[in-house]
Amino acid sequence: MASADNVGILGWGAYIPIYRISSDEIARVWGFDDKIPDSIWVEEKAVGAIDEDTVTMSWEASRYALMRSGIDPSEIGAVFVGTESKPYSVKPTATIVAEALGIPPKKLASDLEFACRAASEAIRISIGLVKSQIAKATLVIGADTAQGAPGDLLEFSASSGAAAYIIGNPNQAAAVIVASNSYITDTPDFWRRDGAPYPEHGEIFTGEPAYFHHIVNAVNGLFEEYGFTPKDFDYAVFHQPNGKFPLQVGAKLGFDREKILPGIVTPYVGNTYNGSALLGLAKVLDIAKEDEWILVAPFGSGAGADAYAIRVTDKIEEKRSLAPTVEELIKRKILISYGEYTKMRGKIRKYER
Amino acid sequence: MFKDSVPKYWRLRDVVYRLKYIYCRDCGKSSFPPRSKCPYCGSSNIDHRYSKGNGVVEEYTVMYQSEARYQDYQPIVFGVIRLDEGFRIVAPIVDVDPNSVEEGMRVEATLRRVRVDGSTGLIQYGIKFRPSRR
Ligand SMILES: [Zn+2]
Repeated sequence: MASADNVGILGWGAYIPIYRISSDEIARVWGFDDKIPDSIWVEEKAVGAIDEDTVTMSWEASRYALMRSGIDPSEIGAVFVGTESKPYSVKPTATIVAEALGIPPKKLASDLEFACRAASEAIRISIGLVKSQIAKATLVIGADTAQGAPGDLLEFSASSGAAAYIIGNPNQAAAVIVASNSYITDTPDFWRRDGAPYPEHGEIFTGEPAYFHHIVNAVNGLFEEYGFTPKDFDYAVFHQPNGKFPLQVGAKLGFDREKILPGIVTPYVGNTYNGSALLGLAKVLDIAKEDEWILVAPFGSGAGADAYAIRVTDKIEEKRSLAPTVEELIKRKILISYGEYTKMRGKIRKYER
Repeated sequence: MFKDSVPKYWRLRDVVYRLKYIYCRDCGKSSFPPRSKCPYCGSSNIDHRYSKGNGVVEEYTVMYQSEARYQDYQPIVFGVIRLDEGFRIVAPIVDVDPNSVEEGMRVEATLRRVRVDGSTGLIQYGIKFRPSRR
């Protein structure tokens, strides 16, 4: 067995904006076949309010992660924000979030971009920083106000949300990252050019050669290197561009639906991009018990996937109640119209007066 | 095109991001925004502290007309909020139907965009409030 990671998840936090738009409403406005929402299994998606963005949602999820971690902000040695919706093209999101959380200047801080898996890359970087004792603990945030062009199929799923994790000493942890693996290639499945407001996607290219190929290889690589099989895991969480893909990739890898469903979030809040798989993990941590094992496999276009083997510890119970659960955040909602959604997400072109 | 003061926003970041306030060690009262002397007794024997952001709505009003730069946020619910640390602040209350706001309602801090300086200037963040979740 290769050298294990053995780094802890000290705290986890989720944030889902209160507003939701239903897929039926989007289908009605753009004249889509009303079977589409069912075929991709996206019922509603979360919509960030007009004054919310990646900075504000990162702050919310991080506050909850810090509450559960039991550590002081001054112990955070690095802050990473994985996002593809930076409020500024130049000026880090991470510095604003860290300052607002009271994390002192002696730290690393940066924004990472790798479509939906940048925050997962930040977890792997954190494993290195914590194991090498360069940082006592790190704050990893996955947050997006995902962009979908009006009338594009992507509009059914592209949503807003965030997840945050405090990575550190395994002895104080709610769960331990036992091992991890990555699989990355140059695959043009989805992109957004600099300055372009909305992304482009390679249509059918997004499924088999991108999402499925990378996740299957990242997970199988982890299994081969460390000797795991699907039977070793109680839960499996995958990146969720829609509700169907995670069930399909799980089936390919040999996981029963029952192990995948607890971590499913996208049908209820849409695809939060960098939040997606990490919100799924948060939802599982909200219910998992000591000594249960979780497989997590985020994916990002461009393309790459990671696979993590995570073991839950006895400290999970005491930490769970210290912040709202993903389920609580999913249930807390206000349904809005397509008109309100376009205003909130800046899709109405206004002229400065 | 608006041009807000960048130095002013930067100088006040502890106040607007983290509700930094002063606690008077002589008379025991808290006040906001922070200043060099206690506004109640004039003492300089003060501590700088940060609020946890939990409080109660004492009064509120709903604004349906505001200057052009805030129009996107309308209607805006403004509350006089008494923080649990004892001081009061006037701030927007978000994520709420204006008709369901009531005096005595518990609220909690949320970081939000407060001002956006045109299409190229700074995005200013600050604390607003929303109904408490727990
Ligand atoms: Zn005094």
